[in-house]
Amino acid sequence: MLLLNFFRFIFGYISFAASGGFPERFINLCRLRGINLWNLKSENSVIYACTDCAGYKKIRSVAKKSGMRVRIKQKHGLPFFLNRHSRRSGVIVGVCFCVAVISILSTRIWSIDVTGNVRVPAEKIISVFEESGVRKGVSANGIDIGSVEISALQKLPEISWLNINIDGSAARIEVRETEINDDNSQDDEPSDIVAARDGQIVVLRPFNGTQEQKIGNPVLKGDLLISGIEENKDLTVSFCRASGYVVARTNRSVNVEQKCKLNVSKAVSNKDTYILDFLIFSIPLGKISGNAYRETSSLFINGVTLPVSVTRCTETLNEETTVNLNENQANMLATLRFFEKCTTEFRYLKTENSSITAVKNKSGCMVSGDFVCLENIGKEVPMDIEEMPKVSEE
Amino acid sequence: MRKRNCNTSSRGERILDSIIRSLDLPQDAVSGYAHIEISGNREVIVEGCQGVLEYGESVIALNTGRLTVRICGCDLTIISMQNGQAIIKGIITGVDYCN
Repeated sequence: MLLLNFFRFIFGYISFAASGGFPERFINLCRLRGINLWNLKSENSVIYACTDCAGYKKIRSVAKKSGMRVRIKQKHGLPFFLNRHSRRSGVIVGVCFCVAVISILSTRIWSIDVTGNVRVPAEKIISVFEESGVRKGVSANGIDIGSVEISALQKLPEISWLNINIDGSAARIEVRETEINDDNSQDDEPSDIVAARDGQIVVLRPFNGTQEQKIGNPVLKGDLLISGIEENKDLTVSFCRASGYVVARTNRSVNVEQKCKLNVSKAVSNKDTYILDFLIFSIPLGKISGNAYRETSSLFINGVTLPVSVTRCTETLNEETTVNLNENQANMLATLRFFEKCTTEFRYLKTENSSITAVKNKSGCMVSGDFVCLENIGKEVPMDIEEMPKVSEE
Repeated sequence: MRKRNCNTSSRGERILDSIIRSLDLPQDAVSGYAHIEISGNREVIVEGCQGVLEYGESVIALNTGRLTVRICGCDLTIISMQNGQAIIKGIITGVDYCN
């Protein structure tokens, strides 16, 4: 029935009312002359029915023979709609254009999304895929997914696995990154543990190798702490990779100087310029410099990224100026910078004791701090071993 | 006086009926009777319709050749009438057969 109604709409039909005369004769004559009637209904001696356009042309003579008077109630369907709007050519052109645009765009890639990446930026992955032919605006059916995946995998050594799914007009790229092995040195490579800083040993725990120092010993930078040479029971030696945990008490000092005259770069004005992006086409709505900060906003409908986006380019104009600080301001700035430096330097250390002094003078302020810390000073250094040539017994 | 079934069947018709019955043939296929399907009290499909004898708001009478089928009810609508098939929808209260 739905299909029938669809065809009736496409070819057009007329609903009419017939009154007076002999309705039975009217219906029978219509049937005999092949006039297709449907939805025939009688109300207050008036027949309401529908017929197609060709049938309505023949219905006049039938109505005359049966003594009925026929009036059109309504014209339905596409031919009448087009006829009614034939003078509005813009509407028809617009509808045709809309249908053409939708039918063309629905086969194209509108957006490329990357998921599963942590270390490798999405922009890099997208650029590699763009080189392989997966870019905005290309036909989704024309992409050879298998060859694109292989070529992208060869160009991205940081990626161990990737997959591209064409979901409607969106290309969704799933990636898995290769795991980083932090331990680059080989297990069988002999090495020593030496002191990375001057200090006094507090904890010494050799896991592998020979202990060369004792707890309480003062050591200088470069001193051997755990040796990679092990003596066997038969007085021969063997080389191994030394490992262990050496905590020493060390002294550290942090100094920060802040002058009263401060050169700063001050933002004078921000200039926003917009770019309208449509698939591969970009329409700049003003003059844009190369170093402008860009922020792209795409249009979404029900989670689907549309091929239209707006990029805002913000260009900041800076001016170099000299600011004169008073003593208190210089002191405050120096203290702030001092603590910032301490935070980064002592992130993996434990401080036992500290003394911080701030000295003010005419040119500025200096904040200095002396710290006694506990830290792991063990540093692995590979051994240089040369294989001696074999001396013949003769 | 001779007794006749329903007082309407001729001798030839009675012979044809007995042959159809003995051969287990469907009535509508051979003897020219209409094939009528009734769905609840909402729809009647009449196959073998040869014309409309009466058409009104509450009654539609159809000529099916041997019989006249009178469909009574309210809000009756002929949905389609093509190739000898009539589909009538509405609230049907009764279907009568007359010769």
